[in-house]
Amino acid sequence: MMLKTNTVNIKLSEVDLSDRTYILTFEPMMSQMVQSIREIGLVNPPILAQISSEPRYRVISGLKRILGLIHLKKEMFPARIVQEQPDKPSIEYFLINFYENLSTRALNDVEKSIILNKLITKFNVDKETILQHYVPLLGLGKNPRVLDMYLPIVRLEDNIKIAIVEDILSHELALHMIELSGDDRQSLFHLFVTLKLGKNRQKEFMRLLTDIAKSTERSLRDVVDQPALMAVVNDEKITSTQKVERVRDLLRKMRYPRLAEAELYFEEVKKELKLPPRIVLKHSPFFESDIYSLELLFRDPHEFQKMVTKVNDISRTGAMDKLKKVGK
Amino acid sequence: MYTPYVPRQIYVTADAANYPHTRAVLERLPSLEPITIPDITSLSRYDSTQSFVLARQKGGFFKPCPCTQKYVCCGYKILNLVNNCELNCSYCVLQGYLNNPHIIAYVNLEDLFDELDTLFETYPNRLFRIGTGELADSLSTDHLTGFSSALVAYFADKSNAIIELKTKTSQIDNFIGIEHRGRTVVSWSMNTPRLIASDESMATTLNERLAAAKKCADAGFRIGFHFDPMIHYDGWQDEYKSVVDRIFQTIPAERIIWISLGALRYPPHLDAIIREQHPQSKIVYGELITGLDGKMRYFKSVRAEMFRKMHAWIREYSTNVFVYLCMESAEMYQDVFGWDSRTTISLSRRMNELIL
Repeated sequence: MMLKTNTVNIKLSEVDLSDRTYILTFEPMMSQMVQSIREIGLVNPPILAQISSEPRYRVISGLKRILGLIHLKKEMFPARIVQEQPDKPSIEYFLINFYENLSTRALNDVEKSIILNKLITKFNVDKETILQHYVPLLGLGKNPRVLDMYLPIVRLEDNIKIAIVEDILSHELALHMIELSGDDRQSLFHLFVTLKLGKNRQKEFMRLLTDIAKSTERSLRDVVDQPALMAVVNDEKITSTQKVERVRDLLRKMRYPRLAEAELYFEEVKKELKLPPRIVLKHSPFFESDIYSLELLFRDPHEFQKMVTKVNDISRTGAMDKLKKVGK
Repeated sequence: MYTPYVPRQIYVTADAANYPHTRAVLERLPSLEPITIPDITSLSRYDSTQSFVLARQKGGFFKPCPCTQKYVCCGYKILNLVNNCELNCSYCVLQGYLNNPHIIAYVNLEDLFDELDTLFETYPNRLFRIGTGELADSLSTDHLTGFSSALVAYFADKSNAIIELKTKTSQIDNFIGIEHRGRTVVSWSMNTPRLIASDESMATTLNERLAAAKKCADAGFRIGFHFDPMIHYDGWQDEYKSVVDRIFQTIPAERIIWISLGALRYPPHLDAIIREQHPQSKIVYGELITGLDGKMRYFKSVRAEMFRKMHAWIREYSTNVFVYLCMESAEMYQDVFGWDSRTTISLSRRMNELIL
């Protein structure tokens, strides 16, 4: 498509930055753009649509450049102007911005979501065309599930979208978070950010928290905000790593109370047995079997004999009998 | 509310077309135009919804119950007569077990009975407890297949075998008047009304199951009940006890041949399926750990408590009804029933004695 434009100097105040009809950019990184304009000026004028007879303009492409100009407190700038009916947004103008961005930089997941949403809802492009043409252009293959994965992202709050862009939050987890209420989502997100959780831990914590919330019929926010958990999160005397481990322990105890009780009791029995470090008592996974194993680490027959004697001594104390009660 | 399965489409494999049971099924579904397909492997090309398929069982019908590794086996045997089920219970292993959504009924019962004749004659001193309710509900498609009457009639004169028809439906009309000579056990999977509503909502209610069981008991059939899967939730004790009460208030204890207890368990991959396909279900939020067989199951003390209490409630009504555990360890048998390991190993023999 050949675009007929007139290049004219316009006032920055005449640009309607709240009009996002053609905008697909999310959270642009501004520092390099500002630096570029400061050093060599505006090389490539933005493209704007004049949407009425008055000097009022809608951005087609070049939002980042305009924001750079604002940052540098410029008042006038050259722009390429096209005419447009205000109530009839043009897909051609949207595609100008789309292809321009596609050819010059990598689009983030939020921007991909914005593009797909606009194609469907604002420009009425049918899903088949989107799947066959636009989704591959975005580097997402042709699987119809892509739409389920990307369309909902725009509904998330900006702080969560930023976390996706900055790769702090996994895309997969963000999709699960969409199903939560806004309060629950923000509570969970706040916890993830405060504890600086990696993605695997985020996934584990989300599963534990949602399961606890559903099994106890509480909101996820109530589970996150409970005093015991918040006391750990806000404890300034422990490290971040310790906080993560303690919160995880707390959540596991809530999710698996009987297992946690059995583990605690088993540790108490082990303490009572006073086993030396080279004699290791182990239980079956999840205490599912009543069989325990005892591992002896030794270098020579003498050490072995000493350990056997120690094991004999322990067996005579009767403390081992307490193992029968583990998990009962 | 329970409504018997009405297929929207019916397929017949080419080699099943001329069996009497195929003709009988098609006569019961006059409004459906059957589509002939080369074999069941070609089904996915035709339909992705749950259709009814009439096919010929090419392999053997008779198999040992797959049971589960590292837990006590009761020696049950199964007949692979129908595959899949439309009841859509949340916990059903068939959701992740079968590779297509269709209900397949194997119509060559002549071959089934030949296979069983050979088996029973080859092993005249063995006792066989055989069921059809492992890969399907035994009776949920019986209004279409009529298999139950053929099975009840066949087993009636067998001296070393019984057939167990295990169901969550009330479809007993096809066989209730058939001469059975005590060789058919009719069993119901039991759960609490709350669980039936949330996780077995396409099956019959508790009242309907009990009413059907009473009719069968009155007709002289021996009755089995399977509390499987038992689900642990707030209030389970009162509700399960109430079901036990209802059973013994409805069915004379001497007509009950066995009651099994099995706690919720499922292969790990089913967890995501349950969460996605049955969002109303809360069963995945129980205290489930990974068992010795790799399946998700309740932590041992949870299971033991459920089994002990159920056993005690049953014993309040009857000291004779045989109660056993499904897919549990010898340790659990010891814990719940006080059986030593030798008694547990002979579970199969003890159950066989019930059918003599």
